[in-house]
Amino acid sequence: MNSAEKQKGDPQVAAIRRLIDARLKARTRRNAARAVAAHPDEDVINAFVEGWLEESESKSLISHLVSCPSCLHLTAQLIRLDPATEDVVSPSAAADQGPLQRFFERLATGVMPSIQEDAVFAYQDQGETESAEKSEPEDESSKDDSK
Amino acid sequence: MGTDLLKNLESCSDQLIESHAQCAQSYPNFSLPFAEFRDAVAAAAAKYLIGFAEPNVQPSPDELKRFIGELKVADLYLGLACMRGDEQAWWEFDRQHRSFIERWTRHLVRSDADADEVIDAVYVELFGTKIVDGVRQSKFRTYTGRGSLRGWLRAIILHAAVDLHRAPKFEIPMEDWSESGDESSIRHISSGETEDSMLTSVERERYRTATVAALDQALATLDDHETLLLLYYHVEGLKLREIARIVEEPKSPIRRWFQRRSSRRSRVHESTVMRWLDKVYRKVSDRFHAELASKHGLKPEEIEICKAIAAEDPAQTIKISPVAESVLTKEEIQIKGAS
Repeated sequence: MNSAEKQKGDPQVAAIRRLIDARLKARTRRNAARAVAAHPDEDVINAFVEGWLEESESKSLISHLVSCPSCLHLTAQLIRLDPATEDVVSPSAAADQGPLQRFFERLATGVMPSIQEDAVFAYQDQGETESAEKSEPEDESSKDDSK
Repeated sequence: MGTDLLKNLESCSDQLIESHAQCAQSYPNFSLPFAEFRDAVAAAAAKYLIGFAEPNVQPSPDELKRFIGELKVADLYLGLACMRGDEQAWWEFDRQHRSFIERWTRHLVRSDADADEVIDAVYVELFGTKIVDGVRQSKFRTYTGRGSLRGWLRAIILHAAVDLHRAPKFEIPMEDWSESGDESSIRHISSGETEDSMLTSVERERYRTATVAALDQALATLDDHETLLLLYYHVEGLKLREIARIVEEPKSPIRRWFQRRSSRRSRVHESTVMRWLDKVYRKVSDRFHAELASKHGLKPEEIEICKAIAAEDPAQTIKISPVAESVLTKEEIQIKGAS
């Protein structure tokens, strides 16, 4: 009998597992409606996901993650990415018009946002972070079925 | 920036000079003044070794050396040169990362038009079009080299994709989970002709309140690492192998924490995480029962009723929680998601 079967076979554990599941989801929803003063930036989030933070460095971040659904979701999305997909070399686009070239051309033609248009999108902007997020497509067929 | 930090950084000057020279050798088409490189490293050390440390704790020279040794200095060098607006650096950045940016964006965003929009937005953000005190606010200013530039880009792109779509995040109604679980044993208790069916509504409310309070109290005994992994598993739906991966990261603080609580020092597999989850469930369960018995004075048969009520109607249980006044209803969630 594997662990999942053992869990399913133990009514006590199965019952508490379902209670925990419902309660954590409800608390996450509640926290989503709350304003969070400041979020860690992408540099910190990435250092955490890549495993570079020392325990002393990650303590406050982990406290933040358990109370901030946005950042929890962001880190989960980054963890969920299969690293193998990163190393696939796409067909060379050397001859194509890439984003950098498009960017410079648009800059030259004056169609980029002006400095008055506040084109820097700081993650600390609460208005942005409170928005619901797009979920990454996921292969549910391989999902662990013990939940 | 602390004077102690700067002083200790001086003791690492050879290491910094060497790192800078290696970067310059790697990127012969552009250059970055050493002072800017050193200042960026100092800022990174201040951010992580002082900003996240206990108050009044300064990193020692050895800690600084280790920190610098872990930095992705080549990535930092490239990012800093891009931040300065060096065109050759930008072309190098584009050569190294453009295909990744496009691939990752198209993985996140379905339509080509939307993907192009996200990619353009990311480049705008990286370049920076806002100027503060005469300095262009390139997003690269926030990159410290603590993690890889590519990983940092993933997070930037994900944010940009989220900003573009603003899709509803929480669409699954609370009631759904009760339909999918293996809860026949619990349902058996509540669906039959038991004493539960004869409970008055007042008693049910009392039991529900006690159940939620006890569960919250039991969950509060977990430390943040435990709660985080539970959230990844239950709320974010990470698979066991995905959780195993973050626990497996050699330098992950979660791994170190995990290992301290586990007799195993070897590789972490899905089954290891499963066993760990099982232990946490039992820990919460024990505490939950103790709370119901001691604090709420319930007898074992009453505790079973509490569990049965929660199992048959979890959403209602959550709604009556005294701490869950702001929990959105199913309809509110859908409206919020649609707005």
